[in-house]
Amino acid sequence: MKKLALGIIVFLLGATVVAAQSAGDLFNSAVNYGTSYRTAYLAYVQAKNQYQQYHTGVTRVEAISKTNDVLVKRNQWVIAYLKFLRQTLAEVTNIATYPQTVTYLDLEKNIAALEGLTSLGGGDNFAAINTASQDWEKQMTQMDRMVLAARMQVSSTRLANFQDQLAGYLDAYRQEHATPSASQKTTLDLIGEKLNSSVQLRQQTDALLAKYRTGFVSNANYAQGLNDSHQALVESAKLLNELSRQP
Amino acid sequence: MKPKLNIFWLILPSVVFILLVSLVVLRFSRRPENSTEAPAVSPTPIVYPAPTPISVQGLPSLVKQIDGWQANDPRLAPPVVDRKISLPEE
Repeated sequence: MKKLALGIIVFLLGATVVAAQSAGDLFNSAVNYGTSYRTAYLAYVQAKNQYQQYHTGVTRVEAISKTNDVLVKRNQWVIAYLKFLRQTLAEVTNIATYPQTVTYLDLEKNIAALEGLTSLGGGDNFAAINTASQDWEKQMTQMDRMVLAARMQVSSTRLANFQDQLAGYLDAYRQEHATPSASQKTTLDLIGEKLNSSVQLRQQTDALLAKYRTGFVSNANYAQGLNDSHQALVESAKLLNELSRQP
Repeated sequence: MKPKLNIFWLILPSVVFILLVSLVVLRFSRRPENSTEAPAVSPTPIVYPAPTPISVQGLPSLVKQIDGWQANDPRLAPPVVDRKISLPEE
């Protein structure tokens, strides 16, 4: 009975820790999984080479063991990364407050699918191991698109926040200089134009990302749109900064 | 006969209660008030966080942050793994 009670306590403590993990914690966790993967990968390459060189029973068993291990470590690293990405999205955007009925970008589904691969790492012959590995690798193409969209959503949100902040500074400057000189007015208009252009370019990328969330897979270069938006924002910000320094 | 006092069974209910309350608070603190309602439209719009308060001293700092922004944030780069792990034919 005591053991059961202790088990419940440990479980609840564990659940509390998991629920409280931040993006920083998950990033560090992913880094650790990356280190484990690299170690396992070197062992796999070595074991595979030794089997190809000697073709003995011992090297065969070792090759199976090390390959199974690296398949598990590879999967664990990707899962850890996806969890970090999911938490970053939650912290940067408002998706953490979405109703539970909403899944975002299928991140949860993909994490659960990868976590459910219990047969990975259990192959007892080369063919079974190769099949398990190929099945996993096939999922990565779709995963790449999802990861790109998620990353761009984070970047776009950060850019939008910068745009909002700069707009705030621009408004404040206009209020402080209710009757600007002709030169100041020209510069202020230019700053406003560049800022608007930046917002519009970012919104175009947002529209593409919104389509992605409804299942439309685009080969659009999300990053290019955001980079163009960023360029206009940098110019706008620097102009405002120079203007603010003038007496 | 006086029952034997066991400190373990005195503490256990309190610990379980505190943990359960913590879990419930964590679970619901991130949900909106109308969280039971399913979204009417899809996709769910992204609502951007409110900008931080501005100050004159903050503009140079903001310019630096904007300058350092990258569409492909390297911290968010996906794992570089071998996607052709296999063994030779037996």
